[in-house]
Amino acid sequence: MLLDPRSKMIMVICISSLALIYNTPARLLQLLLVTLVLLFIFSFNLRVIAGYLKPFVFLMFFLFVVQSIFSPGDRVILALGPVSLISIEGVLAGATVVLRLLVITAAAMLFTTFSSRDFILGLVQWKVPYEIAFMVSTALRFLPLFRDELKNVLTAIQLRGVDLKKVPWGKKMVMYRRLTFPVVYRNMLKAEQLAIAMEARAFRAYPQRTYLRQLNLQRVDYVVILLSLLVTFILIMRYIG
Amino acid sequence: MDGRIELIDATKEYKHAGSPPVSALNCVNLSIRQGEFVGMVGLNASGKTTLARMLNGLILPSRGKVLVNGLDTADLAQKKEIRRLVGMVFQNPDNQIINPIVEEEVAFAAENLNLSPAEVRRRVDWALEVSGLADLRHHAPQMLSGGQKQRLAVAAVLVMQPSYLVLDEPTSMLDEDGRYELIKTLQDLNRQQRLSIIMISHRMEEVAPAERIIVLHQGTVYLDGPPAEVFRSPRFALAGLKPPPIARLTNSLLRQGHPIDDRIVTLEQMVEFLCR
Amino acid sequence: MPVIETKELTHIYLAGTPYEKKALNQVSLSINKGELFGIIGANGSGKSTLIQHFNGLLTPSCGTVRVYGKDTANRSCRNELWKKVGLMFQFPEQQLFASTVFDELAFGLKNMGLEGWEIENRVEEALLQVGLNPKEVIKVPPLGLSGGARRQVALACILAMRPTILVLDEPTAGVDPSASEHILKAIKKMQREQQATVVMVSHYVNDLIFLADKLAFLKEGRLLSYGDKKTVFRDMAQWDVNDLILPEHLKLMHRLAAYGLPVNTEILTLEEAAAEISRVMEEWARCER
Repeated sequence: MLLDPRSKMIMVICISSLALIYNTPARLLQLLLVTLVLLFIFSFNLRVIAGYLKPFVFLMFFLFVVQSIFSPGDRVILALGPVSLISIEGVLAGATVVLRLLVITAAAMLFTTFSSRDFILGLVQWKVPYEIAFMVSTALRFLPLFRDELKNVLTAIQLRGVDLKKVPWGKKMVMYRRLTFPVVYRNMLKAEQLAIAMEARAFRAYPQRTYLRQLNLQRVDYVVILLSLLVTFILIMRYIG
Repeated sequence: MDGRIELIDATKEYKHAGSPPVSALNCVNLSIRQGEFVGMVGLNASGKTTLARMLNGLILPSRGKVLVNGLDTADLAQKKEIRRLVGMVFQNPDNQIINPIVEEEVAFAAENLNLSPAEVRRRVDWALEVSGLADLRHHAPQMLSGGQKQRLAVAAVLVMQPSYLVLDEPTSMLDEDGRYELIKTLQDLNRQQRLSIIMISHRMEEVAPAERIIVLHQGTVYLDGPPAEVFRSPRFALAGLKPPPIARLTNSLLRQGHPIDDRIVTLEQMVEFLCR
Repeated sequence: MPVIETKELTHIYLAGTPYEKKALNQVSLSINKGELFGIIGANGSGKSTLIQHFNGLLTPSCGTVRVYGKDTANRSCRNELWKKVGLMFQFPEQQLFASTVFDELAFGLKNMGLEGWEIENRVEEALLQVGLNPKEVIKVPPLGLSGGARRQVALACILAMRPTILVLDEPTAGVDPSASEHILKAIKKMQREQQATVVMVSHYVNDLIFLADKLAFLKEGRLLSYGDKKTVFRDMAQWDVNDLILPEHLKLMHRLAAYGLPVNTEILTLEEAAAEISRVMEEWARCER
């Protein structure tokens, strides 16, 4: 079942909207499951997501803990003397934040199930200016490059005696901060080279450009779009009311 | 319309605050005819990259002019036509490839030229064919080998039907197979399509088969002529370069008094001469 | 005394997944102290995988790797290796990250626990070794240097740590002839003056003809030939179907021999090739008279 990328875009927008509106872990969890099912339907390899998210597990746990501590509540679980540290409300608040993050990330993964060119094409056919659509698509393309650059530099450090697992968290933060500049700088150089290559291929030389392919919204696309919008609308109404 | 790229007293200076301007190119006069296969060599900072980028107007001269088939690169109105006439391929294929499918990558430039969809399709098919990538048209560029990626970069530029193709160290990041494929493709394009090839390289064996070699040194044209002459010239060593092995072999044999053709600089030429 | 020894080294990437790839297949070799060991092979032959075993970055899926007699499968051995084995990847300038050349070199030295004055000495020494002028480059950000100079800085970073084993992946790829010469000189000097063992992966087989003491030829993860230069080149000629890897003058000898000319294909240097052709041409001249 091949859906037009625009239908998928609408789905992502719908899911993200619901994620922002829902405020309980239970609902967010349901939303997450629905998203994962959708990803599975679009033949997305869930193991790949797991791989991408692995480095962030610690960060998310950290977020969960912080949020839990700083959200006050009545039903205390852990207390230090008279000061209540973690309450059930706090834990629920923490879970909400993390789940919301997961839902939005998973929804965004839907963007990777179609090519960047179709993405641009879809937007252009909906009258988004070509340059903007192209910029967004190219920006997305650069994200894995940032990751690769970081990996490069981390390897370099390891070769010169730093055992990453032994470095304390405080020092690690300092290290990452120092590495940010060269990583960003090098990616900017890459972006510049890409821009030069594109200029050499007549990018924006003419006010109009041809598109080899055409995306047509099929009936199934209209159904999906309509259904997504309708369901989202109903869910929001029920949640608010 | 005379088919040539001309540099007339082309100079490029870079100004830095607080210090005297740095001259990357100094009063260069050069003419490259359509259909020529030119190798350009020189140490880093000799001005080769600057010169290459001037050939299609990516860099404009501080003084002097660059004319492509009579069109001035400084003339904004002619920019499109010049970019179409002079295609450029860079060192790192990963920094040139934008699209996730080979066929679309090749179509990119043709689409930018606002040609009819039928014309775009026709040109894409042709470009894929002459670059030897027709079988790979639906593949993802990341899955290609280095040599294939560079040929893709060439195809992506060919689709504009340029008259000149400038390649800035295109083989630096390739292994033997990749280099061999790319250079063979370039030679075929030069012979069959009469495409002018201007190739910058650090490896003398790669430019030895060219019909003309230009040596740049400290921003000026130090040597310009057929490979055998250039390699034999004492100025070649002064420019910090060493001739390719076969050329050195030829020179050594000539010095010993053997009746060898002094124009031999490549393996094929040597084999042909000795095995006749 | 072998400094590096591998026995039936096999390395499989992503074992058990559908993307599984056997990068190395039963590679057995040994590298002696003070040798310059050249590794030749196309992309995908496994050479980068192989050298990463020499400083413990990778461990074998099967087989063993011993450095200075100690098995690299042993964690404590691996943790010490980075001081003794200096590894430089291909295009090492991609890994430069400090704000000045001095900081770049000092980073590794600080991790070794050296004092301020010792660090300064070593930084200056290493920069001179690679052919750079310390006064000119010490305060400059590495990212602001030219490509060749950045490569020289990357090499200096490794040399400053005074490793006893130097492992280099394509040290002269993509740099101009002048920087290339400085780098090769520095490597040869390290080997001679400090009795360092050098393992060098290179496409520029011409360079290896002069520099290397022993060679290894890898193809698709297998060690097809290993030992002295003449033997390896002879073996390579059999595998090198498209005449791609051998240096020009050796290719020439093989082609001429294939045509029936009485040339010796077991030569190494350009001078020897010239002598061979000279001999044949003199023969022809004699016959004509």
